[in-house]
Amino acid sequence: MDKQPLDPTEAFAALGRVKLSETDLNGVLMKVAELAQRTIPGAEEVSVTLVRGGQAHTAAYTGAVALRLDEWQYELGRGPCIDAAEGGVVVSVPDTSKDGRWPSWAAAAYAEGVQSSLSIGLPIQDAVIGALNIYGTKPDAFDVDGVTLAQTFAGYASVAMANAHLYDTTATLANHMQSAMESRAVIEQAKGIVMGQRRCTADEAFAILVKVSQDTNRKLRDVAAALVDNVRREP
Amino acid sequence: MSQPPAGPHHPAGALAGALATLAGTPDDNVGIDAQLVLIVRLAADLVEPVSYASVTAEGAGPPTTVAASSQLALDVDAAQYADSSGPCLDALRDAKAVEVPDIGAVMAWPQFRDVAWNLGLRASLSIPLFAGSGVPVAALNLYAHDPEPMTELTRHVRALYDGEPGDHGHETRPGCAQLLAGIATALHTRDLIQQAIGVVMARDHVAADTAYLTLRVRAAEIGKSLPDVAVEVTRPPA
Repeated sequence: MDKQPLDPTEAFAALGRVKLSETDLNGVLMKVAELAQRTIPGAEEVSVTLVRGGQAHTAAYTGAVALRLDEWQYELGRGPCIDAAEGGVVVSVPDTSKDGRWPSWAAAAYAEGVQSSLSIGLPIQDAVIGALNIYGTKPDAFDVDGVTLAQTFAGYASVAMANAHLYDTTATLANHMQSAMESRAVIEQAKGIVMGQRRCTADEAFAILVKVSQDTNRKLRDVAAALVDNVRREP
Repeated sequence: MSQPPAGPHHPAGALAGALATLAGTPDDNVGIDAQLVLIVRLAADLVEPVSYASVTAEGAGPPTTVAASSQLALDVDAAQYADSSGPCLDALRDAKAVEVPDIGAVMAWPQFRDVAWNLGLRASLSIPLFAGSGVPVAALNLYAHDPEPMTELTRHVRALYDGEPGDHGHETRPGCAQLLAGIATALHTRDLIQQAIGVVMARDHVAADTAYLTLRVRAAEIGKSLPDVAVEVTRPPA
């Protein structure tokens, strides 16, 4: 794995090229973690925590230390990454040698050689919450610029999750679709949704739906049904 | 049967006009039944291969025949309702054109087969009819003594509902051409309204039925037709 430092612009360009159709959510989150590790000064290890239905797990990590420090928090049921995920906020632990909030976790981190951590809560959406966790070997490893960069990476992770949710919805809907409307009407509704969102013509909207259908190898009708269903459920 | 009064003006004729008008009429409009009655009369009188026509509708209650060109058509419909199965019910519930090219060979609907066959019918075609919301409000049943002239018409109707460009322009029988032109216009109107529903769904973050009501209320408020409002809503910003 390439661990050379990376310019933020290049990192975000690389993220922009990730295609959800060619990977899964964990693949995207792994890419986010890797790029964050290479881009944020002082970042030794990076991980992404996801909390679904009250259960936290590490969806992506760049090294074993990050995984262990995440999982120690899940066992305790508390810690900076859990607080960040639940509140959608930034939680910084500037010095693990003297942190009074999570003393046992901080001691474990210190023993692992991690002296500071930064957890960025992912923007809260739907049923899944999460955090991007960055671990550093020195105290006060992360400055204001580092926090800003980390927040941008967290934003990418969040967008990837939103997209993955849409794709998942598409997959399950293909099996469970029970609608009074047949394909033709649903496709017209989906065209209208795209027209409303992109301010384009019906023909352009249709071309976009066809493209999504081809890129994701799903039937046009299923893509349309997912779009229609998604608008209804996500105000 | 006497010639019905001139229907809505449509260049392709009264039957085409009536089908097109229905597609843009709100489902709750009190005039819907009268439109269905007109469509049945025109279909039976004008569409050459058709011996009898009827319209099946299913509101909150059980399916009923809203209009029929003869007692015979009523009897064939009633046989399907009694059996809770038949092409007219499939057309209504699946929103698809349901063709029966050879009634004698039907396996799926024995009641329909026996009654229709004994009345001398050999082919049928049931076509879903839509009002403004886009869900079928009725099925137009076309029954024929002679199956052969129905073949071509059936093929063209199927192509229209399958969304294929089709070649119904080659239909030379004037009544058949009218029926096909009417269906084509009705489907186009429905597409337009469904697109408008989608635009409102995206704009207001609401489900399709709520979006339809929004359009319907808008049409009533400004005194325009549903298709006119749909054109307005789907027009891309300049």
